[in-house]
Order: sequence, then C-alpha cells, then structure tokens
Amino acid sequence: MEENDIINEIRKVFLSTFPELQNQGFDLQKKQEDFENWDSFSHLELVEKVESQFNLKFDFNEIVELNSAHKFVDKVRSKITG
Amino acid sequence: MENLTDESFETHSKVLTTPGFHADILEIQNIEAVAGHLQDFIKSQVLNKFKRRGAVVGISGGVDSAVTASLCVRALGADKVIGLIMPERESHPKSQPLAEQMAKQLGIRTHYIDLTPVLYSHNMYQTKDAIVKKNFPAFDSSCKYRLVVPQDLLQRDRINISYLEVLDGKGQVHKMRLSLDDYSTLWAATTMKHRTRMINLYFHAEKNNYVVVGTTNKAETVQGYYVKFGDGGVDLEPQANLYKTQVYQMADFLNVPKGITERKATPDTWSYEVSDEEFFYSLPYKTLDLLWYSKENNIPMEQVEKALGLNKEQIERAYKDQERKYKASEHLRSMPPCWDGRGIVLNTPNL
Repeated sequence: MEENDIINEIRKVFLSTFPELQNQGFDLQKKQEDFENWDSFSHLELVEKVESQFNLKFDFNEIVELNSAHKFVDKVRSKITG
Repeated sequence: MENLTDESFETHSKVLTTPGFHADILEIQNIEAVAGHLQDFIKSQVLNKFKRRGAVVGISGGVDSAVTASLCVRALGADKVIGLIMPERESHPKSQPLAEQMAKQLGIRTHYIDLTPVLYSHNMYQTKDAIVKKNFPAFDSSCKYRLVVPQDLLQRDRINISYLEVLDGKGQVHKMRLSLDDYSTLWAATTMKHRTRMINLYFHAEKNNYVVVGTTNKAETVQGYYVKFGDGGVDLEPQANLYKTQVYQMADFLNVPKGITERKATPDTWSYEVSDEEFFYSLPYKTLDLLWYSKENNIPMEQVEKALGLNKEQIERAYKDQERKYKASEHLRSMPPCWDGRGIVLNTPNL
C-alpha cells in the first residue's frame, strides 16, 4: 500500500469520526488537544475503525501514543511493512 | 482554559488561601472562619432557600462525606442530619465501618442500605462480569478488577484512556485494552451505583422534608469527576469551592477520624481497590490542586515550576489534561439546554 493510500484511508476515518472536519479541514499534524471532541470514547472509535480498515491490531501501549492522524499513519505504515 | 473566576469566587479565594504562590498556597489561614462560612451557607440554604428542616448526606467512609456531614451537624444540629450508609458488593470492606464510626461520632441518625440486591436486579454486576470474562476468560469469583489510566501523564504526550486490570486469585495482575463497546458499557453499568444512591438519598430527604447535601470537592467539580444525576444529583454542594487538600485540612479541624483522613482517596466502585489518582487524575491531589489554582489565577510559569518542582513541558501537559476534562464535563455543571420557543438556547450554569 502506498503512503498516499494510507493517508487517504486515515483521512476518511477521521472525517467519519469528527464530521466537523468537513468544514474545518483535515490536518495530519493536528493533535488531540486541537480537537473539540477527541475524548476517550472517540479515540477508541478511531482505533477500531483504523484496525478494521487495515485489518490489524494495536496493543494498549500503542493506542495511547496515537494522538494525531500523523501518528496513526506512521503506526499503520510500520505495521504493514513489518 | 476558560477562567472560572468571578467576583464571588475571588472574594472566596482570598478567604481560603494564603498570599503568594508556593507549595502550601492552598493552606487555609483561618480554618475556623471558613468552617463558619460553610456552616452559615448550609444553614441559610437549607432553612431559608429550600425551606426544609434538615439534611441527608450519603456517608461513604471517605473524607469528603465526613467533612460534609460534620459541617451539616455544626450548621443544623445532629438531630437534623440523617446519614445514609450504602455499601454494595464491590465496596471496600473498610468503608462501612469507617462510615459508621463517623456517624456515631457525630451522633446522627443513620440508615443502612445494602445496594447489592437492587444492582443485581438491574443486571449491573452480571453485565460488568460478563465483559471482564469476555476479555479475561479465566475470570472467576476469586478475581477482582478495576479500570485504571496510565500514570505517566507528566512524562509524555499521550491519550488519557483507561485499561482493565484484573487481579486473579493467585495475586497476579493482568492488564488489557477494552473495545469501545465494552468500555462504554462497563462505565455505564458502574454509574448505576451512584444513581441508585441518589434515589435513596432523595427518598429519605423528601420523606423528612430535608435536602440532599452533596460532597463534591473543587477538583471533582471542575474536572467532572462525578456522575450526572448520581453523586452530582443533590440540592447543594458546600465543598465545591474547596480543593481536596483543603478538604483534608478541614477534616483535621473537624476531628474526622484518622482512619478516614489517612485512607487513600478512592472512588470505591471497583472490586480491585483503585485510588482517584490511578482511576482518573494520574496525579496526586496536592499537585493537581496547585496546578488548577495556578492556571485559574494566571500564576507565571516560572513560579509554578519552582513551587511544584516540574518543568514547563510537564506543567503544560497537565494543564492540557485538566482543560480537556473541564471542557468535556461542562454539561455536568449546566442545566439541560432549553428551547424557549423563539429559537434562543438557554443554558443556565448551576454553580
């Protein structure tokens, strides 16, 4: 999978979890604190959608680190490429 | 962060704190005067505003409810205060005896209500245990469990999210991540405990023409560490402007038994004992309170660093965590928004 494909899929997951991004725009570098609604519940939603989309699993130590779309992209890439 | 300070709080703040910013800033200088203000507040609210005859307090065996009950007795008299002791299957064994000791010391009437059968009838334990069993197949009656958050809030940028910890019968701890559905359900089931207590408090309050007095302190109030219509379902909150460290100081002044004040602060809702720090805050109360005070009062960063022995990066991480909790819990501190028929949304703060 190409880097742009990963970014595009992560973008779709973020837009479906945070619909307000349709207006605000999606930014890979934005961190959790830049989002109004990124709480523990929406974080688990993000994680589960990404896991399902890429058919992979994150452990607990990994999911606490995923505080931006950029970190999701990096983590997915490292898991896919092994 | 939105500044909570208003004119009344500023006045209050001057009474409650010592000048300058240092590690002991929250120590109350004239504790007797503050206790007097709180007693006057309770008396005036109960008798004049609510026009009721007394107060009902849920006594847990913890320091917050011990202080609230003591202040109510000083304000209204022991014969006008009822203490409800409401343990359930997962309460710590120490909680009930400590609650009884406190009530006996105050000389108040008490009612003992075991919530276990009611919670069983709502499938609360069955729901929770099924989730734990699904995630930890070796789960049996010898196991205890709890939710905890990582304790490295100051050390790294990370998401503040709970994981499940199971203590098995052999004393081994097993840590696991929960799915969104399991996490939400476990959380929702647990809050049934708080709401069942609220129902009982209001039964005794209405039966006696009393008010329900809450026990929430400032850290809990501003960060939303209470359950909507559960322990937040009360008529008045005398301690909502007292930091937890000040609640301990007040407890010493009011001669709350050492068994209560020296006990680790805990939500007391999980079979595997967990502290407030492990379950929610990730920081000790003293640090937590000083950080909130420094942010609320715009204390310069270098003074905060010096007083707390933390660096700027750590302090900013803690501020962000507190700000997130404050924003996420705004709805707890507000009346439900109402449509007034003209397209204007009303949202009246109740603090």
